[in-house]
Amino acid sequence: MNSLLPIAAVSLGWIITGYPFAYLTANDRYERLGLAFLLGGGLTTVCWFIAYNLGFSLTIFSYTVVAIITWITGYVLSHRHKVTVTSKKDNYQNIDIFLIAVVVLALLSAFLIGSYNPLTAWDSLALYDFRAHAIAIDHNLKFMENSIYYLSYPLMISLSHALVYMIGGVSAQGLHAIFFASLIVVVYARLKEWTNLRFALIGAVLIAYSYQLFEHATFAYTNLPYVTYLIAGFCYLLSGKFKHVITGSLLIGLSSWIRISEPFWLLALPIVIWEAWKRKSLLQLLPLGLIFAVRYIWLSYYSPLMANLATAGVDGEKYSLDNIPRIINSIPAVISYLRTYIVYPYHGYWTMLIPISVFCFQTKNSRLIWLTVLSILTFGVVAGGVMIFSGFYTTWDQIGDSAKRMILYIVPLALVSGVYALYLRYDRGYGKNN
Amino acid sequence: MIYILAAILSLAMAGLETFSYEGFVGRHLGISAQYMYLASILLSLAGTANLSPTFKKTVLWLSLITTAGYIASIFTESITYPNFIFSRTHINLLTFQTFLFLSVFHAMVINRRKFLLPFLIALLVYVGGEGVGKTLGSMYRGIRTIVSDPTASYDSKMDKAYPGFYTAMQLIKELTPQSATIYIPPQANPWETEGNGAMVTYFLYPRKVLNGPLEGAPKVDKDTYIMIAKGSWKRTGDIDYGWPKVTIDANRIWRFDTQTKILTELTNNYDPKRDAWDWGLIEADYE
Repeated sequence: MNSLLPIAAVSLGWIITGYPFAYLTANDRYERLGLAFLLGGGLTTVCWFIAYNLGFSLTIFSYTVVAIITWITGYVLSHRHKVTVTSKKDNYQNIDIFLIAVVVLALLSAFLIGSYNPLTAWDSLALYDFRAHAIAIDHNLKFMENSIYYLSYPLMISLSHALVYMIGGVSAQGLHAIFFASLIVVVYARLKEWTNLRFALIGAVLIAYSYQLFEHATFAYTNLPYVTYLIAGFCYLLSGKFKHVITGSLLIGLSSWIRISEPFWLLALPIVIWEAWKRKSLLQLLPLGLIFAVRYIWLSYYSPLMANLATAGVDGEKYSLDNIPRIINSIPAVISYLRTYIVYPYHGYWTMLIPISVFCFQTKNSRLIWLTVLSILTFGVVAGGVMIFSGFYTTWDQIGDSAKRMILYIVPLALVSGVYALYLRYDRGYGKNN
Repeated sequence: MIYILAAILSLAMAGLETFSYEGFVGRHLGISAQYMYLASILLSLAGTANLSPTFKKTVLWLSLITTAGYIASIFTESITYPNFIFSRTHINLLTFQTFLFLSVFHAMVINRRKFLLPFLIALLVYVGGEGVGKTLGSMYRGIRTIVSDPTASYDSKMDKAYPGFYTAMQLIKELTPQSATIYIPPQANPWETEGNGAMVTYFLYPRKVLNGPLEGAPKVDKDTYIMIAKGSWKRTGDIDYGWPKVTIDANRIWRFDTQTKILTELTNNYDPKRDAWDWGLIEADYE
């Protein structure tokens, strides 16, 4: 377990650097910690990458300088915008304490298991963690600049792992349980603001004990951190205030810093536009810039390198309208693929959309409507994406497990939607008195 | 009343299929159980007659017991092996999950909840029950592994995950400079691990890793080393174990005993007939 201290050090560093930014958004102290971890990790690794592109090596020294500058920026911003803390003391009953205990148990277990087990998952060894080791050895990214495979994903997770290795850790896998903890804390805090303590805890328990997410918290893939930033981002976007929209947009942008091929970041755009339309202010569209800025930081590095390396699609296919007949012919196979890898593994969650959709009509609650629309659009985006893929890649149907992992975020999205819908229809005034 | 009958019938069918298989009712009684489930759910819209509090409480308790039983079954299955529960109790967990959904749904309807709320709660229990059972199983398995050997080193854990291969990688790292080029077997059976360039690169970086030819010697340059590998995968094709398959001029060759982590160094050339070891390394002679 000789990686515990390095992981703790990296996590603490992220929380410290991210705290001033989290202070601007969150009133709840636990929410601040979870949000600080996410913002600190995302912002410092992005800035570290920018520093590399400006000519600095990827060392602990350069990271520390970047982290200090990031913290100072956050400190100045938070000092200029004083936040009035209005959180009220929660009245915990025995059942609430029990629910908190079971969540803590799950998180501690995930952390212990992830920290104890060695890194053996294929994509970790071949890609994410390999890049981390290479960065920790070379302190640059030259090793990946001639490889389409190593360039295929952005660098947040690899840089995070590299930090652990640079300060003496042997395995960075335990960090992923802390991403999981941040997801639960942020979702809990958002649900608490939207509903009440009890419903927030029910949501937290359901997410902590969704086995798909729990297992991902015990190995070093990028899917869980991606889900964390995406769901946290959507939760903030739907929280109403402009500061939340800014934070949500930043988190969505940072999700692209983990995985950029997935198109789910697009689903944030209509929400931001709608919020701006509600407030009748074009300035409220500025958070969109945060999403595009983070994406641009990676794409401006990646695209020229890929242009040199890649000549056509992976299987030698050219992108052209001639592939449309193939797409049409693939429709039965696409339907079968979607049923096997997208619908069936998560059929309980997809089915929740039925009662939740009806609740949307009954309650006319805009947040619930958006959560439902996000789920429906997710399916649409995935179905459309798979159809297009089928036209250009002959091996499109051989990576079903990858598709299953890609859609993992439907689990917390459906659970948040379900718990929120339940509150809207079931609340007996518990929240009003609590 | 008709709703109560439908609910009881749907639960009875789900119960039957829980102790057999999905489709049992359709096969033996000629009616699809799924239609009965759907009918009972839709008939709940008609509302429930005045039912006794005792009946309502009983139904609620039954759904709670079913939930607990389902979670316990899923947990037990996840800490033993797939199909354990069916093999011991004849309970089919897939159809048991359907029974769980129906029991929670009907219990909520009977306790005077309108259709949608029971539907949502039943779905949350449906996914939540499976999640809790499997997560607890995952926790148990993980913690059990930790408790069995809490002070195990990272090396010993990796050795367990990749027996032979991991130790061979560590020994190659010790014996070769960081600027070395390491030739590994072609990525084919029976060298699917040790012939995997990405896998070997993970352990040997910054050394350059290249796949050698199946027959013939790899191209030799300064600081070139060649892995000796019998093949850690079971042979499934025509290619025989052992690589390289030709003699190679060497400054030194090493035989690895990955069980005891002992190296044996020899100063002769590599001869596949004599040096067909499980693991080893050749320092190629370059002039």
